[in-house]
Amino acid sequence: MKIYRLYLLLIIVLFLTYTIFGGNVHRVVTNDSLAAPSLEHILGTDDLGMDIFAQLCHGGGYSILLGGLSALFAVVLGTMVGVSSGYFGGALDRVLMAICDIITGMPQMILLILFGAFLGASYFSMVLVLALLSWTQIARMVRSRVIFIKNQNYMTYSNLFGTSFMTILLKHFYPALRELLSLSFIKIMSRSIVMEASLAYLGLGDPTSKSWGMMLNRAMAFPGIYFTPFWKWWVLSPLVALMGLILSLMILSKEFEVVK
Amino acid sequence: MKKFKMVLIAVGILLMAVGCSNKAQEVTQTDQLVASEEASTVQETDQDKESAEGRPVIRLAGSDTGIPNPFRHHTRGPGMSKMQILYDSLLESGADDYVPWLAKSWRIDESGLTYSFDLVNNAVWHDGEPLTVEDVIFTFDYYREHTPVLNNLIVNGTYIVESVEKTGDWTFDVKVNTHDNTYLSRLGGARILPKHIWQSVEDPIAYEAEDAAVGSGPYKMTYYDAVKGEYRYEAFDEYWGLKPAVEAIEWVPVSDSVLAFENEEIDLINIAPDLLARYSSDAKYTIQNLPSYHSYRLMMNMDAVDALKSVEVRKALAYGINRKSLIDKIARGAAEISSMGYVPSTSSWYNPNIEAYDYDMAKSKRLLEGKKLSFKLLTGNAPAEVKLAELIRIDLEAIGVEVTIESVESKTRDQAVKKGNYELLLINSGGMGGDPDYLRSIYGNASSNTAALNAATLKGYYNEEVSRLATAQATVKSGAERKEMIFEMQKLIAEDVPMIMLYSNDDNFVYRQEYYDGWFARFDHSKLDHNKLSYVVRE
Repeated sequence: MKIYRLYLLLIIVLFLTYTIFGGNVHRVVTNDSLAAPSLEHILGTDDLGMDIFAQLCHGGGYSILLGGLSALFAVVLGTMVGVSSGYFGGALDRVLMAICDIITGMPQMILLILFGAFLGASYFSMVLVLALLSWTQIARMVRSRVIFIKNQNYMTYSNLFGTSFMTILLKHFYPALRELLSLSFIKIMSRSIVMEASLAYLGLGDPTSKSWGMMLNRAMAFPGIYFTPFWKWWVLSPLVALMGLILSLMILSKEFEVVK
Repeated sequence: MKKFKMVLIAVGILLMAVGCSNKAQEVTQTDQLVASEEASTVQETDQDKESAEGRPVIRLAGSDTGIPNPFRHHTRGPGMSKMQILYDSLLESGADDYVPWLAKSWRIDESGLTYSFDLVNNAVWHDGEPLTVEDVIFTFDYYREHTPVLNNLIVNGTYIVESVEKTGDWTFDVKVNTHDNTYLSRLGGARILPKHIWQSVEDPIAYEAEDAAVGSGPYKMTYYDAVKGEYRYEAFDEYWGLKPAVEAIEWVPVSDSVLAFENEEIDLINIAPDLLARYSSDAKYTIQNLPSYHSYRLMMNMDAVDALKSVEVRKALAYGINRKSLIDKIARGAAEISSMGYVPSTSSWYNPNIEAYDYDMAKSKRLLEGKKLSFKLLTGNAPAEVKLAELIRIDLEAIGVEVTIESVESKTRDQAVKKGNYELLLINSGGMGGDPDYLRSIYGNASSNTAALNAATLKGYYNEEVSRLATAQATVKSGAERKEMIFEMQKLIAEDVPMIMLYSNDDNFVYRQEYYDGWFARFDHSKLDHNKLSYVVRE
């Protein structure tokens, strides 16, 4: 198995194993504050004495789940808008595409910060905000594809026979869009993970979560951390893990694109 | 090759996130973003850090703390101190007590109702106008109508100055409403305003003209950018008193104060204990360890939450929080558990014989009698505050109290304190140095000032005996009797637990003594950069 797939699998397996076996070590405060990596704490501990490896196990799942959920919402919303816009056309198309243009034209990170501040820093609001900012690209792609399919001869015949919209959606649009949506799903997931990490790093995520971005935020906020040895395990662990995750998702999407 | 490109892109994305980020401490995250990107405009204008007279230019980490005049500065220390450097008062805080400043001397008559001051005769305002008794009379009249941010002249809801009478060219009497042990410091601490500027200003809070920060202090403000949070004060060489010790003081935004200090972008830092070894081993640095007159405290809204009206519940929470552990984890051991009677242990007014509320989980559970409680805990978004909230939640969950943490920007949290929009609230607040009369405004239901914490913000607390003592201690003439009363108040406050005092951080200031070593600690406030006397040549 390719190494990036192994890495993604590892994150998921570690998260599931950790969660299924009731892992709560990531929020257990010990007296071993800022302990260097050892057999007891393989990636050391943070200032509260919490095990960094346990936080990584928990946070990896947090990041993937958050990315996955927001990508799923974005794909569903984008597909609905794109199909409606492309298939029905007319005023509906103009209105929906205008909304898309407005959202696309806005600076995403600033919107994200504003939404984050307005809706609060809960897990669900993060998913919602990330999804709301990600669906427009999908909607545009889906719309173009739907318009293309709609103008095919077989669609004209299909319409003449009075095929219902749901059947057209499932028999004609879905197979043609499936690969495109899968690819978009992975890309949005990767983007959402980076944006969540950035937000968390800026201190705008759920402050008590143990997402990798929040771990980085906490570590870097430790006064003068680079003048202490603590950064070697406290900063590097989530940083490397996050880089690995984003890289793996990027390679996966690239590979997906090439194969398809 | 493609994979290599993707590695580069991923690294780039992460570096961008790192580059845009900052520590979340005193200012908002968005403020910091702006600050980090546009920093050092002030620095660029003054690359030469020494004047022809050899006086250094001092740079300090800062952010916007409002227009530095008595009506527009922010309430906390950084805002207050910037205003105090520009504006003189009759007395100033020295190393052990108040020292003469605009008033050369003073005396209080036997009744304690008349304060006679002798004003210096050579003081001038930054615009060259002389400072006279007329300005002082005007100031006390003006403050009666227009309340300044730091309003120490209202006690028990009454403006303490009845009249100010000129008794000579440079002398005047202030008549007050009653005898009070704290009135000298209240009158002496009031910042004198230039009459020629403020007499035509009807709404000082809306006043933003160029002369809105003209004072009579040893420095005058020459640059202020609210957006960037930058200030520049230059030495006022016509100053009547102790001469300015530095050419200029500049406050600039920095993203990481330790890095900025290492790069000599700023000249003073307050460091975490883990960095002490780094600086103590190098002779070019001086470290000053000082007790902080600030304390983290957990406020409980006894108005809004029925469960918190029960003293047993409040005691249970107090016993259930392991404050020693908070210090070990968050302050890295460099702090002291705060007294539940509020007065810090470094004060001569501290009563050591009160309930200490040492961590006792079993006792806490007994006091709760199996009650299932849940609270929302509001905290600021500074990392230390969030971690503190998290540890408190863990402690309280262990005694069966469920806690939901809500983290907001610190100014929102400060507003919540005033408005009472909280159940439990975590805050670090100061003003615990000097005279213990602060007990009156915080616990004694004596609405005295607009500081961050006073009786109006301690929601739902009233103890008749504490209120009585709070008033009596201020007027009793015998020092011994007053001390007894203050001790008794601390005992009663500790028994009531109106808020849970957590811990006070130690301050460890580091500076390069060869560049500037005039830093000075005064008796009622430990922050070296907040003290006016840090910037003058002391005799």
